[in-house]
Amino acid sequence: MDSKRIGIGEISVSRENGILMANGVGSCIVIVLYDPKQRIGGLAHCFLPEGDSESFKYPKGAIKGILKRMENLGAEKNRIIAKLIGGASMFSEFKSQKIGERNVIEARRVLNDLNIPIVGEDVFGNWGRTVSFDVRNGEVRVRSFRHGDKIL
Amino acid sequence: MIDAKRLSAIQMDALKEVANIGSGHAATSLSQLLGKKVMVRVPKILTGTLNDVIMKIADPDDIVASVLLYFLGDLTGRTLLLYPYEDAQTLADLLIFQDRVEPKELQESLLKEVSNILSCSYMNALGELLGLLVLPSVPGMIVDMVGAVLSSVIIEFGQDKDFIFCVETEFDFTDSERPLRAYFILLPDSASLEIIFKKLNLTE
Repeated sequence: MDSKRIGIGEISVSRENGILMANGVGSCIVIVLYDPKQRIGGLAHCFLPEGDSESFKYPKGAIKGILKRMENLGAEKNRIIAKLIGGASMFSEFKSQKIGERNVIEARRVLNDLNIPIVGEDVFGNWGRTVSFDVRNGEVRVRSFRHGDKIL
Repeated sequence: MIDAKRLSAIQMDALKEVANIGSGHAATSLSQLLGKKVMVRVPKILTGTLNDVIMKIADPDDIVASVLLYFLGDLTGRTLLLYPYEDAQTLADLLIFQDRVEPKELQESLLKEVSNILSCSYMNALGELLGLLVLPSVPGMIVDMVGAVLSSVIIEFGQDKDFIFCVETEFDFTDSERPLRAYFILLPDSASLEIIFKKLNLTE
């Protein structure tokens, strides 16, 4: 089966088959959107909380971009659910700009404004994650080195 | 302000030379600690988006032991030492002549300390060469996926997040039973790049 890696600052949308992946996610935030009826899913790999809203670097632009592409494939907005992964603070002993935390808060805010329910989260902490999103059934597998695997 | 996107060939060469001197000193320290030969590859300057730079260094899923230090003073920025996980364990064993260092905390502490020595000798050499004061912070260590480590170091602690500039040097431990590797990554702030070029009389 096809699996596709979504790099930092990129989005991708797929219908009925394929696995969308984001590898080695630290303070970045991965946003997964899914229409379970049509089996249309999208994944965004954002790295900064706020800025020029059209860019896929930011949750706002990325979510907008995915929604548009999903709707073009036939997804309906009122069926779409979301999952959030990432937003870690690696090297928590150093004073940082708290970007991981702010990424999570911003993604939640944007989804909330759009009335998209968040049905699963694996966020914060100080460890890295690799995300595999199976578009056939909406399952999100989160692998980590230090905290085991999780299914959302 | 220096634009890291538009460095001349001479400026790039000068930076590589500076990195070479830094890593040469670091390799000497490591070699003295281990009593083994340590080779240094020619430094590489890596530039581009976060994605580009990470992919040039490793597969984002690879597990590494990583040690981060800040430096302050006349030059500011960060240094990151990355050891592939297996190599980190072997290196810890070599450092205290044991088969398998236990407990894990001791292993991590050893790596943190040796990385501290490496980073400091690298930065001291740079400081001496350029006549600048460089003060390193205490080290922080994490064992995790290299993508998560690198992206977080750049995003959380860096300045420019759209264009990444770093200098990578690979260390090779040639006469141990199997080759060991470590990667030293220098992430200078752009103001520091300017200071380095000024000191070398390479500003246009």
